[in-house]
Amino acid sequence: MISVAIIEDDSHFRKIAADLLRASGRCEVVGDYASAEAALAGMPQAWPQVLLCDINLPGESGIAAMKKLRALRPELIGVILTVFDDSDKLFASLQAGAVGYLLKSESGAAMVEAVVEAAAGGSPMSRAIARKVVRHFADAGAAPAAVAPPVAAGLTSRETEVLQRLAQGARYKEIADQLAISIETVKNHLRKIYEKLQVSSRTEATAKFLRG
Amino acid sequence: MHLSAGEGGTGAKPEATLARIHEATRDLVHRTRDIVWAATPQHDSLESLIEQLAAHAERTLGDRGVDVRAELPALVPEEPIGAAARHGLFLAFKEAVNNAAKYAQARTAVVRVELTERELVVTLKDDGVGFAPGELQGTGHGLGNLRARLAALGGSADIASVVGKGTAVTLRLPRGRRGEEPKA
Repeated sequence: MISVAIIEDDSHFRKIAADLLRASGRCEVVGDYASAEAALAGMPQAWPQVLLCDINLPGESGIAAMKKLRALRPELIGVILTVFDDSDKLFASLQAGAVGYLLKSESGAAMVEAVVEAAAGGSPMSRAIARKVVRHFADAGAAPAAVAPPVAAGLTSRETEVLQRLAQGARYKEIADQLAISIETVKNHLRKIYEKLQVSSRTEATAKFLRG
Repeated sequence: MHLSAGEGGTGAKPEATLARIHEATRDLVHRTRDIVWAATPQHDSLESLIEQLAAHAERTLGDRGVDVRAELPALVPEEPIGAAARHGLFLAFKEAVNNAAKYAQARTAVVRVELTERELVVTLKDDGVGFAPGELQGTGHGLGNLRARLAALGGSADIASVVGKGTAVTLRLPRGRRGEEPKA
């Protein structure tokens, strides 16, 4: 059983998400909080393995909350749960230590899968996010044209291949079949990609800071 | 009509009921978001359009138990697409999706987006019951006015269907016509 906590200010969504997690039989919900402040006060009394966290909260943002909570408890596994229009905040979320980024529009089953995958050490990545990542690396690299592959930004060619196929709409299983590798290997590649994104977004933030 | 087991309440598993409430909420959120998406000028990029088309097909058909695959270009140029073209193409695509959801009884569907030098080509293909060529007009199919819609944007729509095999709707939109659009 995976212990999960949720930070989400929309009480309706929070309740449904908690109910869906419980109903899956694979998760127990040990805390649900309507704000970052409530989570910071309450969560240290009942730490979950996985934290599902919205970005837009009434007080402090979910990204700030995740950063603080992970500073208190580094083994906390953070997954951002948000709406598509926020996905530009992917990079800030990764810097806060999130291992996965999930859209609220995805199905309840996908949410449970993502929690299970994150708890197992994976980095769940949806197609919409993969597309953002492809674009990020294309912009970061010395790409001559907007359609050049994102190899330049430190991804191996295999990682690039996995990422591109995910962005094109292929599922983990299909990617594994196409590249003749296991699904586990696909997931490993995705984790590496998230790690490299974290580094690259840090470098960029630093560069931006230095430029003033 | 496809409904999940336990529809009607009495014998419903709590999980199925919850999932249904979740889907209903999600559906409402999506409808609202579609409207907001169409009305927001910041969404005038090719990338935004492509993700919107794929996501719309996936959730509308996916909620009806159709296995939807997307086949998209991994990266598209940062190219603006005018409001009229964006809106018109999305509405036409929505009609194709609705038609597939209502009539096709498909098991699988593919939404494919291709970018040629001159055109954006969007295809929705299903493996459903299909229909005879004469059936297009006057049977309640929403496909009849797709051609007019796309023609008004300088593009074209092609509808190919074989009874028992499925339907493919292909929408073609010329690229780089933004400057020709009158400012509203």
